[in-house]
Amino acid sequence: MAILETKNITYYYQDGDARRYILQDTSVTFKKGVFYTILGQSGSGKTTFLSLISALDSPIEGSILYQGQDIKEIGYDEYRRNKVGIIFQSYNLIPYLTALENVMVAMSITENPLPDNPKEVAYNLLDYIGLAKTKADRPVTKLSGGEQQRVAIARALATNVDIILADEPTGNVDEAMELEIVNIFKKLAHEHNKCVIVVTHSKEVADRSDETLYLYKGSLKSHE
Amino acid sequence: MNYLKRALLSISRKKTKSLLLFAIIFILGNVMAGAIAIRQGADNVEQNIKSQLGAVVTIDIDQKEIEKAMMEDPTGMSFDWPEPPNFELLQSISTSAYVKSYDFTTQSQVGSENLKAWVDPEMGQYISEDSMDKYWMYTIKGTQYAPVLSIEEGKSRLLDGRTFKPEEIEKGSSVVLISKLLADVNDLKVGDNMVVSTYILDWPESGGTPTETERRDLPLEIIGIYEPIESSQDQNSSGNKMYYSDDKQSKANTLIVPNLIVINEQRAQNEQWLKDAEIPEEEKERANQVYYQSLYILKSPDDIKAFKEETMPLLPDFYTIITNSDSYSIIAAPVEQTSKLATYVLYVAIGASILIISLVVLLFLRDRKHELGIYMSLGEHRSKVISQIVIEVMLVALLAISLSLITGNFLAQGLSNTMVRDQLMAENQDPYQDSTIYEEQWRFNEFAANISSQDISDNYQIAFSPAYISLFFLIGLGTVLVSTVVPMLYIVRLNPKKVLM
Repeated sequence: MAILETKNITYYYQDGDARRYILQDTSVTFKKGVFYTILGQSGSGKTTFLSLISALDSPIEGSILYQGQDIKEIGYDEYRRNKVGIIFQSYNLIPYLTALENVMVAMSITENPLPDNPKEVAYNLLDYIGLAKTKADRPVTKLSGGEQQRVAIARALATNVDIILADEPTGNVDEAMELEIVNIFKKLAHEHNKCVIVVTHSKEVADRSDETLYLYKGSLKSHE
Repeated sequence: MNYLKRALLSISRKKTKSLLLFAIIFILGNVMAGAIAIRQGADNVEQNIKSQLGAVVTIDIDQKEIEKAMMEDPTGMSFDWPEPPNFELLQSISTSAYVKSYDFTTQSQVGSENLKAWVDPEMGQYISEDSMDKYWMYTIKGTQYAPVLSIEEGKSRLLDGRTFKPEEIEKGSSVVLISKLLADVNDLKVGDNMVVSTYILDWPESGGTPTETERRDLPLEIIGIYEPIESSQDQNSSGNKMYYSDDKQSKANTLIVPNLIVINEQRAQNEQWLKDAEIPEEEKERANQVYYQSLYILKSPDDIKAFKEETMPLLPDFYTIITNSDSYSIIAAPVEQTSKLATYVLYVAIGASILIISLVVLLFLRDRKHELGIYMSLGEHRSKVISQIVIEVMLVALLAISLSLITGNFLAQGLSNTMVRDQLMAENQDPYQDSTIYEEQWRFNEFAANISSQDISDNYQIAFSPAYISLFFLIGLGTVLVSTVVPMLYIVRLNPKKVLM
């Protein structure tokens, strides 16, 4: 069964009297245990699509279903809190907090059941992603770009959600780091049965994913 | 890592910003605290003084209205001098639910062949045995109220004897209450008889000393000896010693008798004066009209406004209600002015604080907007996002406001000393501050306020009262709360994508 589905979603920017369509009547289905990538040219609407399925914004027309239920009915805030983990290209970490505290912020916000020892879980998660305890206690501003991206990934995973959404997660990292991050996503999909959707412009990342979708002229096309 | 912990971490880890916010709120808090303290000081002094004075009212000519009417008709041709309220009207007003007790008094000046007036040693130089003062050295004050209002209200103390019996008032019996000072100087006691006289004088047309044409002797039996009680205000009043000495002397030489005694003396005097006068009968009748000075003691100073509203429509034209605290506003003008100024400062300070704090919070939020977007993208409840920022700002504000409560109070004390006390003291050196004070003395006698600038200055206290502290925290924290919540609501109503942009 599909964990996430878009049904005829349309999104456009109003430019005076004219409408600039980003997505037009787009329908697509995502399943658990699969690592998806969405490719497209710059300005094609990849990030907009991701912001819609992560409920950071809402479609002008159409609906997005989570396990068959419209996310509008679930409530956008609740959907973000309990159903999806988002990884941003620019990491979006809280600058005055440490790596550990950033992960714990997400854990304190979600209503999903979590283990009783959140601090330990957060340390383990950061360690699993590749950030040692010494670095976990540093303010995030003192970490490198790659390390900050690891914190962002750990934060997305910490809430125990089914869907991981990532916007250009390898955009600011070197090739070795890119490979490492892609491997993490693969593990999340295959070993932890998550639905991982990554927006990228990198053909290499797309090649390593299970399924790639192309966003072109407002519609998403599957390319196995 | 809930919103409360995040708020605390934000304050402690972003020290410079927290200190900047603290400094801005502290400075604005001082202005607000100072303004509130000065206002409270002024309100307190008014409340204290007015509650000390009680609520004594009288009905009298409205000088301002008369002057206005005369200005409109300078020839005076069409202007009829207003008739005073008659006894029946005064009596009906006394039935008001606000009135506790009342008296309608009359008075006349008399002299005496054998009585020795009490003279204040400080005033001695102004009195001589040969002067004409002997013709009107004493005041006979008629009362309608047998227990005597000033004794009942604790303005005078009955030292010996008794007050009047109702039938003595009704019949106009020849009985009198005299002051202890007068009794001592004449070696009089209760049960003794004394004689005062009404003199009819012939004034030479060329001017000079009048000759005595007739004398009406009025024998009176002393039934009581009283002593006026000097209030602390009388004793403290140092503004015009000569004036207060004169007042003391006048009180000592006042004889309290039933109203009818005074009315009879007034009529006898008038008869003599009018018998040869070539004026119409109507005018003569008018001259014989009795003028009562009414005095109503209300149940509470808070009733004054309602009593005025109830009574004013009943009064004849050009008559008004005057209270014994009316002079307060004249003497306390510097306090009132400062209070007004403080009120304006307070309003401006609140407005400026809302504006400045809003701008500061907006600047902070511009920095924090991205962070708020992150919380929203993580699905945090919007109320918690607002709460975090509100807690951060309010905690800093609470510290700043608490400190400014103390410093603002000192500031207010310093300002008050300069603006209020110095001005009050400067006015206190002027013995003829305002004629209203003398008019008040004449109208209210023992019930006159006798407020001096010193009394007001003494009652002007800037203190940490619970009301002041509550009001300041309410205004201070309220201002900060409004300044924070409004821009926050603007941000969180947006979707996270827009906030993160």
